[in-house]
Amino acid sequence: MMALVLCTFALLGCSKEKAESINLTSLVVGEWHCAPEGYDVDVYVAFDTEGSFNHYQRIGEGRYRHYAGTWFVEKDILNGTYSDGESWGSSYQVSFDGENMILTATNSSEEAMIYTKTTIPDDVKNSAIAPYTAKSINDNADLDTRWF
Amino acid sequence: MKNSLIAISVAIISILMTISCTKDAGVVEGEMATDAEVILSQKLVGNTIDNCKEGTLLLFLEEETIARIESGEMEAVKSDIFVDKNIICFEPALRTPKNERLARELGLHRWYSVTFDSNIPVRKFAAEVAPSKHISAIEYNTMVTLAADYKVRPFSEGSYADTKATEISFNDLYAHYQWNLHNTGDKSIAETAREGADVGVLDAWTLCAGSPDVVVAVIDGPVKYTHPDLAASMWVNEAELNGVAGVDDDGNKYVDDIYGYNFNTAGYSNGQINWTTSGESGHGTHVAGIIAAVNNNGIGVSSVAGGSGNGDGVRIMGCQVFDGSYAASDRDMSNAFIYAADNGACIAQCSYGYDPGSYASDNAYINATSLEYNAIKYFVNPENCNHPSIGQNLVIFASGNETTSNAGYPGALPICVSVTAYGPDYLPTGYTNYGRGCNIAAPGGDYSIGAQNSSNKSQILSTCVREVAGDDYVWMEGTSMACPHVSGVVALGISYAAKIGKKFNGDEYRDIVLTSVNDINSLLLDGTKPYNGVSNAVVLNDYYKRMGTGAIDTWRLFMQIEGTPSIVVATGERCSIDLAEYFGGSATDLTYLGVEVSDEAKETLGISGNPTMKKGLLEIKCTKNGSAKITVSAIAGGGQLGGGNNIGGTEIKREVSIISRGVYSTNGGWF
Repeated sequence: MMALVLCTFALLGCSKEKAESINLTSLVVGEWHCAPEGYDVDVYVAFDTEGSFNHYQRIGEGRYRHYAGTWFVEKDILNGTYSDGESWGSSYQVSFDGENMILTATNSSEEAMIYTKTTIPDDVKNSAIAPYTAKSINDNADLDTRWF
Repeated sequence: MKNSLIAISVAIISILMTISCTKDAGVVEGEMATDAEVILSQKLVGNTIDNCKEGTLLLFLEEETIARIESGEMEAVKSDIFVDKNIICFEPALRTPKNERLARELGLHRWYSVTFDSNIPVRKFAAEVAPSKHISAIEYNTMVTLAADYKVRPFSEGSYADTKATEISFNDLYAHYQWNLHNTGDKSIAETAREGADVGVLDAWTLCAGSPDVVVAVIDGPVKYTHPDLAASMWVNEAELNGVAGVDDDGNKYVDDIYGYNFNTAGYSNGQINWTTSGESGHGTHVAGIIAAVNNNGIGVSSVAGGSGNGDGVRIMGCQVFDGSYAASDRDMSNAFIYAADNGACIAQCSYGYDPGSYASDNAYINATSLEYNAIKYFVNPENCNHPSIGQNLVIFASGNETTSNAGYPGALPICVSVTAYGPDYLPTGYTNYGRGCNIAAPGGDYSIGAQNSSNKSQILSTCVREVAGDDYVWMEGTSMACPHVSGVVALGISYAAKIGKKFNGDEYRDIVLTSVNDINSLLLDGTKPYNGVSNAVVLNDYYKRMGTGAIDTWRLFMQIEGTPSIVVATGERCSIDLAEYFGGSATDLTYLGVEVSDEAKETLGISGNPTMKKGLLEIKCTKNGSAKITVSAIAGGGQLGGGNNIGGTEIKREVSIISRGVYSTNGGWF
C-alpha cells in the first residue's frame, strides 16, 4: 500500500514536471530579439513548435549570420544543438518577466540575457548568410583541443 | 612591408650614387678608360643583356646632370656623354609624370633613354659611355613576354554539344559556356568538372555588377576598342575624342589617346592602338573581355565586371605595350604604368612577366629593372590613388606558365598580386607557376582535362580580334586568363564598396581581396591530373599551400566589404579560434606572422600574455567580459615573406574584433 502511494506521488511528480515543461515550451515558442547593452550584438531567434530554431546574429560588422538547429525544454532548462552537430555553448534557465524572456546560462558564467518578444524583420531573414568556416583543416591541426 | 621596400629602393639609389662618385673620379670625358668593362659592370643595374632591346639603353643620370639639363644645357650634356657618337635620340625615358614631386622622390626624372644604331652591340656601346661622370647607372632595356601559351582556339557556336556550364542570368549569347563565372560541374566541360569551381560572381551581381568610375588599365597587347562586346566598356578620353586629330588636346603629353595609348617603341604604330600588326594574337582583347565585356547585351560573353546592360560596367583603359610580334621593353612598361596612374586607372591588369628563372629574389629584379620597379611604385603610391573607396591602386600580375615553383617578376613583388590558375576541376593547371611569390588563384582554363572531342570548353571563352582570329570570340588558357578574373573581381569590389559607402585605407582593400578566398588545399592532399597528354603529369600535393591564399570568391569579397563579424570567445577559457571569416577558407593553412594587442585591448579583455597563432588557429584567453580589436598578420602566398634577397609572399593584416562573454560555441553561434 505504502509503495503504491509513493509510486502515485512519483507519477504525479513526473506529470507535474512534464506539464511545467510543456507549459514553458509553449512560452518559449515564438520570435525573440536580444540586443545586450555593452555589446555590438544583435540577435533574433525563432523557436517553433516542432522543436526547431533559426537564429540570426550580427556580432560586430557585416550581415546577419544564420544558424539553425533543434531545441527542447526540460524542467525549466532550455537546451539546443546546432544543425552542424555542435551543442550550444551552455544550456539556459528560462524565466519570464512580462513580455521578456530571460535566459540565464547554467555554466559558471551565469550570464543572463534578456529576449524581447518580436517579429523578426523580413530583411534580416532574407539578407542573412551562413557563417563562414575554414573548409580544410591542416592535417597537423589538433581538432580535439579547440578548448583548453 | 611597404616601408622595407622603400628602404631597399633608397639603398639602391644610394649605392648607385656611391659607385658613380668613386669610379668616375679622374675619368676624362670622351676618353675610353682601359677598364671600361669594369666600370660598366659596376654601373650596370642587373646583368641581363639577354632579351634586351637592341639599339637602346636606359641611363640613370647624376642629379647635377639633371640640373644642367633642366637649366637648358641638354646639348652640352649630350656632347659630354656621347662625344662624337652618332646618337639617334636622347630623351627622358618617361613622359613627364603628373605627380612630379613623387616622380622625383622615386628618381624617375633621372632615367634617360638613348637610341643608337642597332648594329652596334649594346654592351659595346654601354661600355663606351659607362665612364661618363654624368651616368650613375646603366640598365639594359629588357624585353618581356606575355604569360599565355599563344594557342588561340577559335570559337564557333554550334560546334559543341549542348552545354550547361552555368546558369548565368544575363542574356549574353554564349554565357552558358562560361564555367569560370558560374560552374555547375557540367561533365561536357570536363569529366572532372567541379560545381563551384568559379569566381563566385553570380550572387554578387545581384548587389553590384560594376561601375563606370572604376577604370582598369589593361597593360598588354591591344584592346580592340571597336569590338561589339567591348566598345561600350572602354574608358574614353573625352578631350581627345572631341579634339583635333594629331593634337594633344588634353595636354597629357600623348596625342590622340582616346581609348588609351600604344606605348610600344619597337613597332611602328606611332602611339595608336593597333590590333592588326603581324603576329598579333588577340591576347589583350581576350583579357579585357574577361574583365568587362558588356553584360546583358544579348551578344557574346558575360564578364566579371561588365555591368548589367545599363552602361554600368567598369571601364577598360587600353595600355598597349605589345604590338604584334614586337615585344615590350622596360621603358614601354614603365610609361604605361605612369600613364595609367596619371589618367585615372585604379587597377593595373598585367598578364605578362619575366621568365620565373630570370630573377632569384626581389633585390635581383629591382636591381635589374629599377625603372619599371619605380614606375610600379609610382602607380601604387597612395598619393596617386584613383578611387576614393580604396587607399591605393592595385597591380595584378599573372604568375606565369612555366610550371615553376615561383612566380615570375614583377608579379612576385610584394607590392603586386600574383595570380595562379586552376581549371574547371578546381585543381591547379599543369602550366601554372605556383609557390613563392604567388598570392591567389583564379580560373585560367585547362585544355588538358577537357571532355573528349570538345576540349576547348575547359578553357576560357572571351572576346578576340576577328581580323587575326577569324572570330570575335575565342578560347584561351593561361595565367594570363586567371589574372583578369582577379582584376575583374577587384574592380567589382571597388564598385560595390563605393555603392554602399565603404572606404578602405592603405593596404586594407588589397588584404581583404587576398583573404576573400575559398579553400583549394583540401583537394591537393594527394592524386594526380593530366597535362599535355600525360595522364599523371600534375602531382597535386606539389601544389599544397602553394597556390596562394586560395581561390578568389566575389561573394566573399562583397561580404567582407560589408563588414566582418566579431569573434566570440569564452571569458576565462583558453580558446582556439578559426579565423576563416577574416582570412578565408584556407585560414588554417596560412603562415601567420603574429598577433598585436594594444595595452588598452589587453586591459579591456583581461589578457595577460600575448595571444598566438597555433596550427592556424588563434589561441586567446580573456579573463574579462568585453570587446576590443586585435591585429593578426599572415603571409599571402607561401611560408616566407618576399623582399630583400627573398622571393615570397606579401604581408596581410586583418583587424579582428573580439567579444569575450560567458557563453561560447565553437561554431560561433550566439547560443
